[in-house]
Amino acid sequence: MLWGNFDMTTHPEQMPLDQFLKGIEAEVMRCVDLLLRIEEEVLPLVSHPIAPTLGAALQDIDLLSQCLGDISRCLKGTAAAKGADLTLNVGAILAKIRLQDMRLRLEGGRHGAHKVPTREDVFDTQPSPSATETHLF
Amino acid sequence: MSLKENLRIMIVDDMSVSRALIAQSLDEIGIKHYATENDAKVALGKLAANPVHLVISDMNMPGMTGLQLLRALRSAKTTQRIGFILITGTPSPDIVREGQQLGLNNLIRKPFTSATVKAAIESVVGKL
Repeated sequence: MLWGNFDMTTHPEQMPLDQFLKGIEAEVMRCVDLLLRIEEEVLPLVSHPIAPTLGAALQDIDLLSQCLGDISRCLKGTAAAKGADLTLNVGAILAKIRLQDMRLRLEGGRHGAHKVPTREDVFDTQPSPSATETHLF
Repeated sequence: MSLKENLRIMIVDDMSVSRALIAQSLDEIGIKHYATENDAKVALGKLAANPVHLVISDMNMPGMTGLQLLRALRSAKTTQRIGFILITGTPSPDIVREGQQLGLNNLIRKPFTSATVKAAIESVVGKL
């Protein structure tokens, strides 16, 4: 809940560690999905031949998405590991997350946590005068 | 007909942008006959049925890594002589050692440019 510029949301203080890790894993995969979408959209707009620095940057996006994918797999494995059913004091951690949507998802299922993001979640499919896809990319 | 007009290459990479960048490098070099494949296991089947002169493969792919693809190619009579160039962002000593043992022909480090791709191909097949 936002009140003025202040977030008045009450964060849960306790959460099972595995649930929290699964939430973070889902967020990391969300980032991977975003990166790949950006990459796919940008590539056709790049004039050929691609400048070496831009080619390197595009390959860095690939590398970043693969790194995030591996981190996500590590988190998934850790969440499934013995001892991951410990209860974690997450209140202070969640309070540091600036993106409200992400924080709500991490707080738990009541906010639609771990939902696989769709394009509509990320990009407004109804172009507005201030934010068409052309402007976004 | 020149070597680069005859050369048949298969690009194997699960990442579409990497595939596109390698393909663009081949276009720039003037190589006309190349195919792309995003799944190493599918690529293996296609190569067994229709071998090429050279495979340019990413290392890190789900299901089958570049080195596993190389091992599979080297173990079959119809594909054992195919040239193989591995592309990786992290050419660790283990990867290089295993690659050498399997008969890896060359390795391209990411990020690559068209010039590095051309040099790597020429080191395997000769001047283009």
